Amino acid sequence: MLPQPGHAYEHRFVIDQAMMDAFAQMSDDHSAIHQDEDYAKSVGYDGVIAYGGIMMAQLSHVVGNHLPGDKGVSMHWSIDYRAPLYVGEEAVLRLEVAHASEAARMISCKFTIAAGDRLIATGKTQSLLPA
Amino acid sequence: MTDEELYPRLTECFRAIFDEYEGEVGPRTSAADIEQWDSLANVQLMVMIEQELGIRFDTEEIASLNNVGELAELVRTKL
Repeated sequence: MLPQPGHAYEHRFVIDQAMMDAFAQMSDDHSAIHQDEDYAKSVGYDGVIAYGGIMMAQLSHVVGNHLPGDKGVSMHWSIDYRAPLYVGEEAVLRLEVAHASEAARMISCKFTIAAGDRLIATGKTQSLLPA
Repeated sequence: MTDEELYPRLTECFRAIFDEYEGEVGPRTSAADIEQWDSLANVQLMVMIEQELGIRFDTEEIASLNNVGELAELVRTKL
């Protein structure tokens, strides 16, 4: 039986400087907003903003290991970034099943990423599961 | 639900899944008309229709459909 609507998993994480450095090297994304503290502050932020790609990596952790887990195949991911997540800030990713189609063997999920009472991002995923 | 009510709702789902298709979505429309309509997109289409219309399909029902007209008839039996 597929995970049913309402079933959820929460993942707590912190993006640290080592993760930022690794992602910068891997992606070759050297945006000032992610690397230059003075620049980030000059345009109104509290510090450099964590790479969105690292947040997606946290989503990958949840999808691949927990919901639906290691037998699922991802069909769709989308994300809307709503507020900056700063390096060293603790965040919680909550992924919840919104719809389960037994006929299609697919679950549709929605997720939020929050840091305290700040909503950082929202999004959706779809995963196929083998019969 | 009449055709006039159902087809616009089905069309919304088709537009969302097949974003490169701008043609009509009518009873005779089939996978042959929409290049993006492969097996994986079909799964996403059926899931979207389930969600949008609050219905549930069976695996055998999905596999037996040949065109949008048959899909509309199936949907109507579930509303």
